[in-house]
Amino acid sequence: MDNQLKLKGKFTQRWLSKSDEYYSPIFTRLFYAQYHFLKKNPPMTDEVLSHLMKGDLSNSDDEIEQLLSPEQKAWVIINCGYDYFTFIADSVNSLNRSFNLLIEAGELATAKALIRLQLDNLTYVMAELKYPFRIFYKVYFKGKNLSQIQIAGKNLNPSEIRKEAATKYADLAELYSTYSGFVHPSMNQLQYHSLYRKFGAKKVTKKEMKEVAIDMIKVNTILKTLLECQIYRYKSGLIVKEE
Amino acid sequence: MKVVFLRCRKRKFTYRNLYDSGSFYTPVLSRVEQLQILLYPKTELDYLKGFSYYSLLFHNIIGYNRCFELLAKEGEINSAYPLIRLQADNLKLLVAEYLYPNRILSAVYSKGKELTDISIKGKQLKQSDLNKAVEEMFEGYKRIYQDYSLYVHPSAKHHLKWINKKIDDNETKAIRKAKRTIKRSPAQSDMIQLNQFIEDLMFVIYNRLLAEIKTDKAKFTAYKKWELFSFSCNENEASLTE
Repeated sequence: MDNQLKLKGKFTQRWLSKSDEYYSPIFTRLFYAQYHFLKKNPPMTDEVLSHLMKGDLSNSDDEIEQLLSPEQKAWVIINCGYDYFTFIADSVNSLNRSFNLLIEAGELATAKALIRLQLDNLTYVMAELKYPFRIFYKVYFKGKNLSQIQIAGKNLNPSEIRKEAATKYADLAELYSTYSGFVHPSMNQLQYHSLYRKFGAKKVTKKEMKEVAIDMIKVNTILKTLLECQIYRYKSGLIVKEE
Repeated sequence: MKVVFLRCRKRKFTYRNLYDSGSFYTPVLSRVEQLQILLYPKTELDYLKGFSYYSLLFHNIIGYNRCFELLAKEGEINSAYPLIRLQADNLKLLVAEYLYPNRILSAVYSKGKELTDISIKGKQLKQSDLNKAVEEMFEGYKRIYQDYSLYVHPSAKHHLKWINKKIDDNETKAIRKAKRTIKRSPAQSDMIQLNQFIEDLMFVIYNRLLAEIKTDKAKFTAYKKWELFSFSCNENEASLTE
């Protein structure tokens, strides 16, 4: 098998700078799992699909959108060669690389803020995995926040999603509350400022880098587990297309 | 050699100040801190003598500037752009401190409160009111705050610029350019604009504290002595700092 497509095992610190390489096999597998899931239950005829992709239907964009189910929209996107996870993957990888850059530069307080941004990505992924094809479409194509998205007539509550996930991943709640303090000005940042002062230099030692990176690695481990579980769920037919 | 006294004067924040904004802010920041400590000794940090809560906030501001430049130069716009929004939050905090002197920074940094947890005259502060107040003082803040909030959470702004036909083409071009180089991009200009707002506000705070200290002769003399001691240097050094 091509080395690019091999799964890389545990997420460790060395993968932070090579996040693309680590996640590429996972996201590729997820893409094909979604593709085969949707293919088994063709959401629309090939004829309609080709018309949609060419854009030669007489209906307006809004009408087409109302006519299509979330699975049908996802099918159109997948036939264009990418899935909804393509967008979040870009962000996840960028945050990992940037986190690594910042800890190497000794910018610990700002690096910690990126963990909270990664936790936000994780929340969105959890929501998308719970309601397949229904979240990222609205986020990326309709410009909505998680809390503005309605499922069965009710607005989603991001904290509920996190709470539910925290039952499986014990660290999650603590991580979220800790790192919120790094996005807003707060006391949490202080220890890292004073820590930074103590170093007296921009370079931090490998040990200190490791200590700071532990939580980012935890977030990535949860993300990886979630994505792999979803691939398994698609493959084993645990996800059933909603009518 | 002739000794020169470096006066505190408002300067323009430029592209070259972004990576090392510490040296840009030092003249006004250290004066504000000294005035603050002389007038309100309680605001001096127990564990860092000679520094006040302003130092903590500016440590953040300077850190974000440095990290923004560092990440943007690497083309990591997904991580660099959210820092503009975080910087806007820092400006909001500074405006709140200006509006309610000695009430905000101490509550945030010593009592661990968030802005919305702080009550002024029995009323809790509201983010929307503060955003409005900042916009009134600094036109353009709201646009920056809203634009870069979209980078903090996953959103269409992140990635679909070049896929969605409806999105303004100039903006798409700007992001594509930023992926290659951050130099002179709109994002860099916005970060600089925020820093200019911060510098302007610090001067307003400085002038207010200066007027206040002039009413107390002993404290004013102490401040003048400190200023003369801290900001006097020889001609060669002065030319370097200019």
